[in-house]
Amino acid sequence: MDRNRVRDEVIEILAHKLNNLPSLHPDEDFDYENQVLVPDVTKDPLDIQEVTMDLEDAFGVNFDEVLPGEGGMETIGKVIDYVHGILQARESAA
Amino acid sequence: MTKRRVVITGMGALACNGTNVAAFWDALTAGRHGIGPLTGPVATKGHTTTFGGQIALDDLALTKGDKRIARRKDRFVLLALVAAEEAMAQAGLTGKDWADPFKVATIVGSGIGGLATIEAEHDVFRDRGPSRVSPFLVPKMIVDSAAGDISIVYGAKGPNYAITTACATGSHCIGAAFHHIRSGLCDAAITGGCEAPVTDLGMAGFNSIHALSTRNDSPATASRPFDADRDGFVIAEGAGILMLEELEYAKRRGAQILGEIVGYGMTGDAFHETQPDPTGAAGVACMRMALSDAGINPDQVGYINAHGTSTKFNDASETNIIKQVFGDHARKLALSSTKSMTGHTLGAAGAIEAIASILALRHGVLPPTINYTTPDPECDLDYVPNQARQVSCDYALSNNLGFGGHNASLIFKRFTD
Repeated sequence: MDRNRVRDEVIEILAHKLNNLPSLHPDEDFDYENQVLVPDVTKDPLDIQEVTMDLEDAFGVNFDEVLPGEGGMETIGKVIDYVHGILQARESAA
Repeated sequence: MTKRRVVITGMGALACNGTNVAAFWDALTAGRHGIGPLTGPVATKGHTTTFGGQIALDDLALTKGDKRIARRKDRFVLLALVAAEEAMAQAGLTGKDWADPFKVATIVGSGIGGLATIEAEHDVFRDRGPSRVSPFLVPKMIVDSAAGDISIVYGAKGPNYAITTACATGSHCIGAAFHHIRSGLCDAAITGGCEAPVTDLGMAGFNSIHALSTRNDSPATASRPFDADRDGFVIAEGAGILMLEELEYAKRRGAQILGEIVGYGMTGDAFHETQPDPTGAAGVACMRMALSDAGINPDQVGYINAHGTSTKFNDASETNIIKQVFGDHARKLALSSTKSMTGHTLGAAGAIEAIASILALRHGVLPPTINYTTPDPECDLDYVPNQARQVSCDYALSNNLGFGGHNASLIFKRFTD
């Protein structure tokens, strides 16, 4: 899966549950990648827990070590990188 | 020392026959019920009883379209939040105007809590494993979440808790709030009860104990308290929230005063999980305690909003205890069961019926017991059959008797300064 497709899916999943994040729109020039999840997008740890589970379900990944929004994965771009990295490794191993 | 007086300055109600106080009261006085065939997924599961009292607003409508809140809250809390908004608005309060927020209590209970949430998340657990259970399961299901959420919205930082006493929940919450204000612990309280029990396990569980009416061919006439042909209660959802204030506190801010709460009694049957004690001893003691607390004689009570569930046991037992407490006056006062129109909203019932009692005093109109057609020799009092009646009373008593033997009686007074 290429990174742009991962990006769009991650953003859709996050925007579906997080009110402060606009839905993905092709014409919109919104800087999703540099959005800081906590506290800019949400301050609520329950929100983070919920979207983490949604991302895990959608991509078959685990956020066991670091949750989205925590150190090393503060921005949406870094969440996309993390998911994309796992999917790439999986494809290479297959 | 004179006791501090406690008054009602705001009310909010949602029942299957009215989703705000004005619509609810209009329905009650017109003898209009809100009971009908089950709708939604619960209608397709083969339940023995196929009808109930559902409110015709889905979760999204209750939140005015806020998907995030609709997803994060169980329906019993959404109902309470809507009722609280109405009560606060009527009281002319926004939540940012408390003189001392630590003296404002929020005491709102539910008989069951987030049953639909528990059912849905148990399905997730069974089908997909423990790691997929929602992080909102716990905050959505816990019985105290209505009290917590209301306090968050309105910044009420005083005593905050839920009481759970099955069908007496709402009355116990109001009674506790009343005592907190009268004692001086609090100046004001947001209080009441809420319930959303029309779910698969709610239906199945109450059917298993044969508590529900099975009059599937005629849902409209199924809730028939005190009638000889009654065959069980009609399960229903609802919420009632009242704003209580100490009289001088309310007057200082120019609040409109809707009524006064003057007495509270509470006892336990210590008898059986679901059946009332046939002697009625604890029910009698409960009403006497409320009368004593109010400092009035039984013959000063003009109206009783009965628990009147439409079950064989409850209605005969309640009639018996009323006769024991009121003696000859039992045949002079009027009592009715508004559950004939709202169904039985369990933990919300005490609050919804408190609102009905306060409005009855305020407007001088007693709501009827509808579907009353065949007298039962064991239920031989004046139940205001089928049509509202204009009667001016000074005092109304509201009874609630819960599974587990929990009894609560509240006494309201028409407000005079």
